[in-house]
Amino acid sequence: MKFPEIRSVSEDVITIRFGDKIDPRVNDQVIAFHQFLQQKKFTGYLESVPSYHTLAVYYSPYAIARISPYRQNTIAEIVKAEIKALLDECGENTRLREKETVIPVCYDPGFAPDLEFVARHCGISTSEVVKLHSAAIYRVYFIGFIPGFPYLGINPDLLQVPRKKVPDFSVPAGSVALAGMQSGIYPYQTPGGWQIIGRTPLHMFDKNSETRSLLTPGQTVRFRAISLSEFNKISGE
Amino acid sequence: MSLRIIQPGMYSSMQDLGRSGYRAIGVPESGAMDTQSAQIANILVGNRASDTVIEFTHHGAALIAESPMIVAHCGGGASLWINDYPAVSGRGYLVKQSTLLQLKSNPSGYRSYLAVSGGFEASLDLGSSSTYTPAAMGGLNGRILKTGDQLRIRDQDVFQRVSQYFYPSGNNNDVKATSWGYYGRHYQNAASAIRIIKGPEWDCFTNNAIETFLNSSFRITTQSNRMGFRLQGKSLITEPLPELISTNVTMGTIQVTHEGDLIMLMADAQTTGGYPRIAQIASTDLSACAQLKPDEEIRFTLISAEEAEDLYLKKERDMFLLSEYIQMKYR
Repeated sequence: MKFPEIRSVSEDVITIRFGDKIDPRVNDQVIAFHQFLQQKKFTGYLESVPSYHTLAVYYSPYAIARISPYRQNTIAEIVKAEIKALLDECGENTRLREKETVIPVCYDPGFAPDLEFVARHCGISTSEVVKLHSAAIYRVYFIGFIPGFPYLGINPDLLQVPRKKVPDFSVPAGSVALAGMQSGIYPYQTPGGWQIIGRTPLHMFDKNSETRSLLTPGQTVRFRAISLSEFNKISGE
Repeated sequence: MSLRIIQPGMYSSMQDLGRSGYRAIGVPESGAMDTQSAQIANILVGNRASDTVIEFTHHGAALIAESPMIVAHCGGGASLWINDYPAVSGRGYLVKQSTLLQLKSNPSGYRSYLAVSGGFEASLDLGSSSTYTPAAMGGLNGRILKTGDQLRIRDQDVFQRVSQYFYPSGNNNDVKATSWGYYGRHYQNAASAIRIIKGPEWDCFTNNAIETFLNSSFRITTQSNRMGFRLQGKSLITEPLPELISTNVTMGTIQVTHEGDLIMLMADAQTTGGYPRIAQIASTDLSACAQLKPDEEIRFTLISAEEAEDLYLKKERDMFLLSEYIQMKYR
């Protein structure tokens, strides 16, 4: 397989796959081209959506049809050629270094229904789980699932747990959870199948703020363990 | 000018044509499931095709017009009755104050749209009024409609401009109507085959699986909502599929679960997913899919990407022409 691989998914979506595994260097290319496209905006470009190793590009076929009424090729071929040229232009363009955000997390048992399970599964104590989890540096590979939900990686080797066989009917907003190599934070109360080990008092998504999502793809994240009283203090602010 | 909900029906929400530009931070598109019916309802009452409408699921809703207004209803699963007279889908009606609007059972289809001249007033979140309940965006405080809700009309000028084209009609003295209507079949009967193109993981499936996919029928289960439909049929899995790294999905993506069932993603679908994507529904047939109801059976027909693109452009052009044509009637 030769990367980047460009292919149509639907009449208005083309994806560019930069690799075949979860790898920070592959994700760097995804984010770099995402940022490049947001500045370049070719005719018909609507938005692009990063995931681990793939960037999806949404475009308006109708807008492209209007400016090229006598075209020989399909709209998808025109957009693919455009993307190919832009990939060459973007080159190995390193993306701008993004900020680091520190997320306060309260690992109190009341907020961490699965902390015991995680500790047992990993063969360590719950305080060691907290220590490992809050010592690591994570990358936001992408935002998905629901608005503002970050896919963070990669969990410390010792902290890799399977997701639940039967998802919880309702996970509280702010829950910090683990699944496989990933950590995540639930911005809203929703069903969910990850192992919950704590809760942040921060709002992960605010539709009325300027940035909307607290985190953006490509940036780094650290967790800081806080007490219940500090949690309540931040929540009250 | 306002409408009052006296019975909300099964699942009713305000929608426009969706929220775009925020998928990178996990915000799904949302918007009307059957965009064609929503657009036609709007065009019929003199609105922009993208104005805010109510999306009804099946039948059972009832509303009261709290002022004179012009309404149009389009889609399936329900028929509009105005003060106990059946209204014709695809036609605009001028109703008096205190008129009762009811959505009564219609065996064909599942989702329908009510537009009013001037559009509904709704919360505009991230550029769209579409209701997305998980994050409480759009619509009325980001939730579905309930008894007692008052829905205000956004732009009263549209009523003033358009009402002169409505005349007494038929044997129902309570309403006026236009002398024309739109009776085109904009979506095919759902029981016929849904057109698809190959998905990114098409080649991961065995010939037998593809054969099963294209030659058997699948039943829409009750685990179906605005996020997606779960389909049941012959399992497509004979051997375990390779584990897939979560990647992009969009409305119309058909995924295959580890149990071999199909999931057809719809308007509120999340932006990424980890199941293999066997196929993508041709955009031209998404409106027909929105009309599928639980227990209904469907089949899939494979078409080429080129054909799908031509159909997409034709669909957009047809809607544009219809809009232009009806706007001329109101000039």
